[in-house]
Amino acid sequence: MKVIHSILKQFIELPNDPHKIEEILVTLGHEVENIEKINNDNIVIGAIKKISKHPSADRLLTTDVSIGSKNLTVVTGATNINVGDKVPVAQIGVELPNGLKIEKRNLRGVDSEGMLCSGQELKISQSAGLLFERPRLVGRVENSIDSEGILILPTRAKVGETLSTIFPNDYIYDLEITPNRGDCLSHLGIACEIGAFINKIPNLDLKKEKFIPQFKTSRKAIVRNSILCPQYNFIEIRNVKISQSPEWLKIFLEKIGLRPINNIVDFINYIMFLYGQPMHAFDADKIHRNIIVDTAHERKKIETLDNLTHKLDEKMLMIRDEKKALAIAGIIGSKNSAVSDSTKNIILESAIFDPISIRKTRKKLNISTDSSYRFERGIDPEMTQKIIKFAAGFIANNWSGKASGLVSIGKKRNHKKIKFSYKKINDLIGANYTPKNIFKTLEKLGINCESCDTKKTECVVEIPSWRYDLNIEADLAEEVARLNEYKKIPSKKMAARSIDNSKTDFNFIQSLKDMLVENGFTEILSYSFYGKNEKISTNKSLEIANPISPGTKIMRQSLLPGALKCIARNPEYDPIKIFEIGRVFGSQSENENLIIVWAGKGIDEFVNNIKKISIHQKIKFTDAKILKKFKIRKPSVAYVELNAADLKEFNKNYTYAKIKERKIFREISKFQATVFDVSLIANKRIFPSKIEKIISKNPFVTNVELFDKFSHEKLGKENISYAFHVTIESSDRNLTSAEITDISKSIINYLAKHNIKIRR
Amino acid sequence: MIKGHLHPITQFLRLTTDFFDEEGFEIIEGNEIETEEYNFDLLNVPKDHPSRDVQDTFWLENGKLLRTHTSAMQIRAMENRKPPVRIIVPGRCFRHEATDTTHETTFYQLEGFAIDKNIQMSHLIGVLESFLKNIFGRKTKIRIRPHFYPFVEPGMDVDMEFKDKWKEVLGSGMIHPNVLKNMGVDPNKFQGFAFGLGIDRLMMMYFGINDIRLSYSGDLKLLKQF
Repeated sequence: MKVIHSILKQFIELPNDPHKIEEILVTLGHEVENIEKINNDNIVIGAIKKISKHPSADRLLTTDVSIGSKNLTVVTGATNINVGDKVPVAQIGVELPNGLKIEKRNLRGVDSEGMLCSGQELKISQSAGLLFERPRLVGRVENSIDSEGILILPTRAKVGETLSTIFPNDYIYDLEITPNRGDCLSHLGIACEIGAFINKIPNLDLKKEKFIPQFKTSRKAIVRNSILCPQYNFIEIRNVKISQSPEWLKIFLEKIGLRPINNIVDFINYIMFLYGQPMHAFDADKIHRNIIVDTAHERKKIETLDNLTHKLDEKMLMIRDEKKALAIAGIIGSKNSAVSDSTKNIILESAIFDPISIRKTRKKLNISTDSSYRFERGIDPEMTQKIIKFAAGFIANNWSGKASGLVSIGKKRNHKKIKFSYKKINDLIGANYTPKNIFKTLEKLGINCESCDTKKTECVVEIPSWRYDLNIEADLAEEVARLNEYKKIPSKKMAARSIDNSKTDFNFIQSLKDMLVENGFTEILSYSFYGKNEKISTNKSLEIANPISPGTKIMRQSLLPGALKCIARNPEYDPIKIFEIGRVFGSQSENENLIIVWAGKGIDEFVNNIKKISIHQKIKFTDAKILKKFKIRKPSVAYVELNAADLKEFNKNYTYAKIKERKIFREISKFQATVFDVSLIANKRIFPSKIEKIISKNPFVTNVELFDKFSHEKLGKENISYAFHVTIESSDRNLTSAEITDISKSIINYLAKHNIKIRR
Repeated sequence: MIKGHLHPITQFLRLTTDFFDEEGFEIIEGNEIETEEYNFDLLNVPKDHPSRDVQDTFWLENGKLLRTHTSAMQIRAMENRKPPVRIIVPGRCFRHEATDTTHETTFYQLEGFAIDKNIQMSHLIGVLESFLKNIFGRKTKIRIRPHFYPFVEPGMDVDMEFKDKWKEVLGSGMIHPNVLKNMGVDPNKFQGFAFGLGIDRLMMMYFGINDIRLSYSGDLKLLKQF
């Protein structure tokens, strides 16, 4: 949700630094995803002195623009400018909000010393250009300079001054409000939060737009379900002038991220984002007499403002008249009762709808609007009437129109009461808040004390109507802790306690993993689901009802497909020795399996080793059809898969190694790697790890793996022969065979310098 | 014999479980397939509340779901235990999300909770700070801020500074009285805290891995580095 700094300022005196605002909001529990700056300081106001046709381009104009201190020649593709117009000028070196940096450019033979800006480029409402003197003509564009029309400024704009004198700098905070704080989905709500923290009371003066009813409407509101609609209000306004919204309103909507429609609809949105109360406007002449609030009849259809037709069921709340549907209550209005350019009389609606009913309805119909979002999270029932009167007063005063008296149905709700003890709050947090502090903090949030016991150990407080999230003592504790800042809560050590986890399944699995690693196997982790193409077992599988894609629909019945995918993915390694321990699923079961896989050279070694680990399971060989399906080129893949727990009888000692080394990841190249073998003879005092380091000095080497070691008289008593797999790759290209040869020569030469010889 | 390699997630998970083992936490594990009741309802996340939308769920055709967090084990663990308890639950979780470098459908969490007569939020802060500094170093910068989870109150997020930005690493808070009641624990006598660590994200910061999806890709070029 976006909040605008200049609007917040209307409610409360704020620090000017947006980062200070960000800090306060984060401290209070509201995430700030982004801060956008609307910087109009670096744009200067210019006056067009002369316009000429560009000498060599039909679609361009050459302008002479005065910016006070000097005149600039600016080439533009727009055609909506006249001599005398005041326009925003971006000079060379300026960076626009869209990232475009202005440079001196030669456009078809004429040097352009800057750029005349459109509203869109400056993130000022594009349609704001319409409001001043003349209608905008659509400009023709060349090479995307000056797209759309140039923003024509009002005559009061002073040449040479910054654009911020007409459109002040502003900041837009993009906030992520948690679902429990419906009261924070408006500028007023955020202003109150900040105010509670900086000790200032927000200015909420709604009386400045006087609401003077001019007549009594004969129309009634009939609420047939007061549980789903606890409060319903409307005001009829006759002879309203429907028009384009004024400049300030269009700019507001642009900053919030909404499209302007007309003054009534836009103003209602403005009110919602400012005060949090969603409203709706109907064309009064499309409503046949009374307004009825009721659940729909089965299969009632309604064509809504989003040009879709929805079928309602008997649980969904509707606004209708005696003949037809007017709106899906709280969510969206019907197309045929909408306010349009031809509307003469309107009905303004302001209501409270049950959050759960709104949520169920909008989920079933798959709609979500700014309005439904707020009703779902809880609207302040004590603002509803105040807001509609304010809105009606404003509309009547500014856009003509005569307002009727308020028609209102609904009962006032009692405020919640919560009992708390000072001791319990401090015990929960682990802090030492004084009763005075707790009292004052709650008061700043509008939570007032109703009564206290004589010793002032326990109090009952009254919860304000806008806080749907405060229900228990722990909720109050959180309010006290967050207003006093979480970072000030002391950090304490828990009492020492010892536990014996040595016999846990977790320990068993870890020791099993270590054993496999010791035996040369590498652990992989694969996804828990796959598609039909990867399913090997013929047993009934368990399927996901809402998979991300058909290829991830089946819960894995075996670890084999994941292992085969891994083998196919790593053709440059031979052999591949991997294992995985993870959950597999039958239609009714979940088990932890272990799979050990060997692909490629030396399968006989695998068979012998398995016998050493004493698994009675048979080693299986994947058949050729499956190898082909999984695109494995290696001639044979052998594996053992079993329930991990079956190994418990062979491994009674569940110890496992502590991780000692913190390795740092090295980016993986997207390009092909090459693995070659190198056999060396080195003095036995040189450790293999040292040889690995020497080989790794070459920048193309990404992996060095020792796979063989032996000594023999022929080599000399002092010497040992080692064999390494060496992987080389480049991060930005596939290495050519010439390059590969060069690299291996370079490695060999470097080894020779350390007296390590290649074995022929 | 040439050694193989342990997956970096396993390696990081071990560092984590070793730390909490020393703090006296029992290690238990749960099923990846859970019921709606244990994953949501008993944790104070009712179906009709907007907070359900925060975690997008994989539903199975049999009506069960793939657990969205390891918190589901909180209730199950307390079915045959009485306070005081200290428990951690490592495990794989699932969220129905679009994947990118920092988001995956499949990931690991470590749940932890402690219930006793006088467990306070200050203990929660203490153990989490101690954990992060133990793993990432004493100079690690940590930030605590309020956040909302229906199963804790007060709720708290912890950020760690990484490459000059604050990165969210875990959610936590004091166990909500409704959840304690669902555990058969009297909230007037006992208090507890709970936290959930995002193992993949922490692991990535620890080893410098820049794409969460690499862990599940089966790419030996990654795995052989560890």
